[in-house]
Amino acid sequence: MTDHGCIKCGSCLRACPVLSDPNGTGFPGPRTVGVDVPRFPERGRIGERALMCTMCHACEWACPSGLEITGAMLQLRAEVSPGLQLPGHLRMRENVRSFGRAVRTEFTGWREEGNRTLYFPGCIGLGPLAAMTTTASSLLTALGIEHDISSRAVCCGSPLLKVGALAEAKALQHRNMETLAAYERVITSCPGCTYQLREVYGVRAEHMVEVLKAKDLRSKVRGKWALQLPCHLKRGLSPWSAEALVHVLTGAGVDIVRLPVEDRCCGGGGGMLAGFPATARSMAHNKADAYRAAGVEGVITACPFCALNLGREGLRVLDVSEAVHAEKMR
Amino acid sequence: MSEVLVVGSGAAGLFSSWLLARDGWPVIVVGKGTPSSAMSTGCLRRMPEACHEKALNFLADEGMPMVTGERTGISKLGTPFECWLSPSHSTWGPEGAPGSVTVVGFQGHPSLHPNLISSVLGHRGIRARPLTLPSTLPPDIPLTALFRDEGAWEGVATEVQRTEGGTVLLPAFLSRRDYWRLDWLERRCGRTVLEAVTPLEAPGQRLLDLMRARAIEAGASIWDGRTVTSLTVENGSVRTAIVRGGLEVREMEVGALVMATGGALVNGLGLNGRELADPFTAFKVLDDGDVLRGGYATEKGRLVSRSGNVVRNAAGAGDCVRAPCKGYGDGLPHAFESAWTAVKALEGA
Repeated sequence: MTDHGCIKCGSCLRACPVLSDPNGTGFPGPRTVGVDVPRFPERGRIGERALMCTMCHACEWACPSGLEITGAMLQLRAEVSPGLQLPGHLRMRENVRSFGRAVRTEFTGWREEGNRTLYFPGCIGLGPLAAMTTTASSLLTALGIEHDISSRAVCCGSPLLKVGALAEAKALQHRNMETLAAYERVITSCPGCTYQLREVYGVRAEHMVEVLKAKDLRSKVRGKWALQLPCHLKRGLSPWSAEALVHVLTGAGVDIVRLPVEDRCCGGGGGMLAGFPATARSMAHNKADAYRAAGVEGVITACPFCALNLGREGLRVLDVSEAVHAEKMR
Repeated sequence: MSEVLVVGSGAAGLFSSWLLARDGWPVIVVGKGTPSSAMSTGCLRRMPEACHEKALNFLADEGMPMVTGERTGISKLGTPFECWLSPSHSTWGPEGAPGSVTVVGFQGHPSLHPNLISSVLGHRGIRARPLTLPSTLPPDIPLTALFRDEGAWEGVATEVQRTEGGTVLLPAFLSRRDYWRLDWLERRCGRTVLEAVTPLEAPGQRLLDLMRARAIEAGASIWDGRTVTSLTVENGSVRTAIVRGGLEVREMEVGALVMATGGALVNGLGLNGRELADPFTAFKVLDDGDVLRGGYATEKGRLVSRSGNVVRNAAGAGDCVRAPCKGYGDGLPHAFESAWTAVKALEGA
């Protein structure tokens, strides 16, 4: 994957948002973890700091040799993680074992009406961001997309792959596939779930942004808003999807201010939130400062992990589905 | 009007995009990965003959002004670096050679070795003193990690003020947005501040950031993180392109094409064994074993098909184009000149 072709230019190091955070310099860096260490039989000794990566793909985008650095880091995690005992990761695995989701479920508005579309909000959307899920569901209904939200749908398994729990992720996939078999269409709000369903399950899941891009929408918000372009949407799913987020919002009449910081990882992905909460918080904190300095009302994103991590910094953070409403609702 | 597709977002791709966009063409630039121009010293070793005024307009930046002429700087090894264009804090003109230099480095960090440079400068007859500031930053971490707050800069200013007068030489790590810090440090310490001329670091990236910003200002759309995976050529013209980004693949109509994919790198010219190859299998590649001279055959800027005919709506620019001779450090001037020729060829077609 990355065993040849590295020209040691350091582009990945300069692109890494963890390394440039005051709380992230313990991370050995994408070159060490993704390129150098995997070549050696002793790679298992790298230890827990190898997991201090948000899987934001910034290194991979910067690599002039086209190396799949993120994939290589994920593969190393699969080898290293089973020997590690990061409390947050253990807690997440325990949650999945006991109730099938990475975090506690707070959502109660299940819709199991035999519709042909399933809305799959993901663990964060069914947990701390349950209100976002309710709003997103109403938006889908207003757009004429009748859908179920199934209590039988469990974690997609993406967070477990990030901590090397491959067998557990596979088991979740089997459970979910039984549920998904009843539906023709799957809509997601989390880019991580979308990627997992598409690439691992082979299910053609649509991210909310992709659903909204062809719709007539109107802004629900006032004042100037900044963006948080989710890494797993832009660099994971497709850069066009990130551009679609901008078009959906500007098309609806949301007053968007484009800031350089919008493209920078918030620290919420790749198991960082659970495994290294101080680093995740520090990255979000520094981003939040930049947003505040720009004097915006808040930030609009399209990823529950971004919304959760930035929201903890006291910023107003909305999911795209909370920022717009269907034209006919007026 | 169908779009002009520029393949490659390095110096040649961005300069041609800027020229085309300013002339009113709709331009889409597709590129992935750090291009070699971003790994350069951010300086031009010689004037790009045909288009130097255009190139200067393109590179005009209030935040990071460029200076031209007979310029000399100090490389990160202490050796002299001569060029025609550089950022203002990288070089001096014929009259401005420093009499003495304080070389600032950070303990254990490879960004700049003050003792080595001072010794090399000493041999060159320039009085130099090393100043190593304390740091625990691991060698792989870019130096920016040390300078997140005002306090860190105040600390450097204080240490520098304690040294005898003369020019201060710093490692080159500042981004385009933070370049103003060097002016600040000059005012704060009352000393001339120079950056060591450094490849594979911030100066090249800074230059590329500037070039991207200018191309966008002119109206070009930049499709980041995407690659062109195939092209169709019909009746002597490029018609369509397949572009891939993440999990998504799109087909687009192409009005005209600028191929600026760089040298033999993964996203540039392909290598078939030890020979250069066109990854699109559409254009003629010349190869006599000297891969550093590039590969695509051109006629007055326009690409040539595999069967030997000039392609009506496609031109080549930068390192991927076969250059008759290209000296050390000639990549950037060549990128500008060949981009200029490519745009003239397309606009004349």
